[in-house]
Amino acid sequence: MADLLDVQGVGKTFGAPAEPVVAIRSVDLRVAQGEFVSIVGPSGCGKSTLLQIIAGLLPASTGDVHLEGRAVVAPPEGVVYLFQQYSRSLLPWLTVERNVSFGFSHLNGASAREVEERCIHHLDMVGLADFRKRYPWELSGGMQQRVAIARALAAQPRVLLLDEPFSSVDALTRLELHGLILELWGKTGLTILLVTHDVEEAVYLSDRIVLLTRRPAQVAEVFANALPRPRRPVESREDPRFLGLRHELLTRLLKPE
Amino acid sequence: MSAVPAAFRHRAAALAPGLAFIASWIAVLEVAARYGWMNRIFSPFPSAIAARLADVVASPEFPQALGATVGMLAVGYLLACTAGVLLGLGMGYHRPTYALLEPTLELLRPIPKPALLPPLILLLGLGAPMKIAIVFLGALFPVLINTIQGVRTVDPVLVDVARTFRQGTLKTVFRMILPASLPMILAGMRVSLGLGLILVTLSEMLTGSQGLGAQLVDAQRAFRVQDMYAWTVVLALLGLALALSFDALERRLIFWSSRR
Repeated sequence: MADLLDVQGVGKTFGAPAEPVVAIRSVDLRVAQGEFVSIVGPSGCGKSTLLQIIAGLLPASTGDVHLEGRAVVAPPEGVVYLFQQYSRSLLPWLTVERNVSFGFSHLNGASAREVEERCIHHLDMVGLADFRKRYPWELSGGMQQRVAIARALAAQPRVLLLDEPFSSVDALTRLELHGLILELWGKTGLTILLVTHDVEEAVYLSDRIVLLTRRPAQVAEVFANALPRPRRPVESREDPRFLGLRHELLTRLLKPE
Repeated sequence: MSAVPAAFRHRAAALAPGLAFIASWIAVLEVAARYGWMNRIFSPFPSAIAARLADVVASPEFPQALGATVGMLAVGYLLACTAGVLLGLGMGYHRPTYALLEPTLELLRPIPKPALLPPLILLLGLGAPMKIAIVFLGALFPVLINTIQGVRTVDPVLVDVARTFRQGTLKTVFRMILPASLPMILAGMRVSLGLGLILVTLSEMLTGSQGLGAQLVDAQRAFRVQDMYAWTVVLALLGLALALSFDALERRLIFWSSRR
């Protein structure tokens, strides 16, 4: 299958030209249509920076990103970035429903009724249809991240970029959100790129795992994930293929370089 | 059961000591005036002021003066708020605009605005244009400065949310930046409202033409001392009414800001 996303030699340097800080040395990465790929690396290695470059939110210093053959220079159509901090990414002055419509209502000439139906549909997908008239700050953290997921999906992206979206909720909620994201991924045929420092999460969710080195980041190795689907929260985590890949990744991450 | 809501009773209970303090002040003034401990003619005499206040409010000058003051204040203030917010959004969001206008802003901002009254009177005369202009100039800067500051301190995550959903510049500014900086903008508008009332009163006092400030100096110059105090009380009550209305409006507009 043709590559949907093609990252070639992407590097990022911050700071003054006299004292450059190289965050990303050079990253090559290809993602096929419908794939679920995770990017794992030590904290502070530049994972989020890389994802922001892919999203068109940040310019690369070197190299380039192509989406369906077109160079990404600004946030492209069909790509949505889901932020780690749901409490900062939702608009507190809008109801849950208006937060969801914020992502798409300006893009096409949909009628008020169509906008409402699309909001209800996507809130229903994340199990929050009853909360559409509430405000984000009236909901729990996990529910707020569900609203953010509904908002992302309502924009009908082909590529969803997830920046540690499950790291600021409690462990049980995290497992629920894993299930939700896999279910939505299965239903929609989305392509998902997830940045995380949680090795188990990466192994549980993805088809392939890209391991980055310490800063300045480059690809250390790409692992194919043989863990069979559908994934089950308890059984899959006891599968020898899960444990084997987890062992390999953790060993590599903890090894002093 | 009492018909008074609990929240109201709490509020009344919280206010009671402060109100009692004010009442005791008035009582002291009243006693001092009656027993001649103060100058009877020039000092405030609460019961006399209260009587004069009733006359003043019933007089044909009252609605006219109140209307003139509130009218000039409203026009100048609303123009200043509109201009301050639009200019502040532009300067806060767009670097080149800021670079262009910042030196002018820093030059005009520290001028004590009453110092502009004599030139404005020469340029615009004694009527409405001069009063609107002085209120506008006084009220503009706090709104402008706070808007710039508010825009600059908007959470960058929110700006990126607008970008990933491809909102475009105008929509980003009006759907994201403006509401997100509203708490700070309103803080500036509150300061501006007080300044506006000061400046409209001062312009009326200096020119003696129309408005509550003109009535106040007229009474003083004619030695209608208790009338003068009555007009002062009217201005104090107007200031209080404006501040309370502003609080109510602010609570409705940024109901979300303390809840995040």
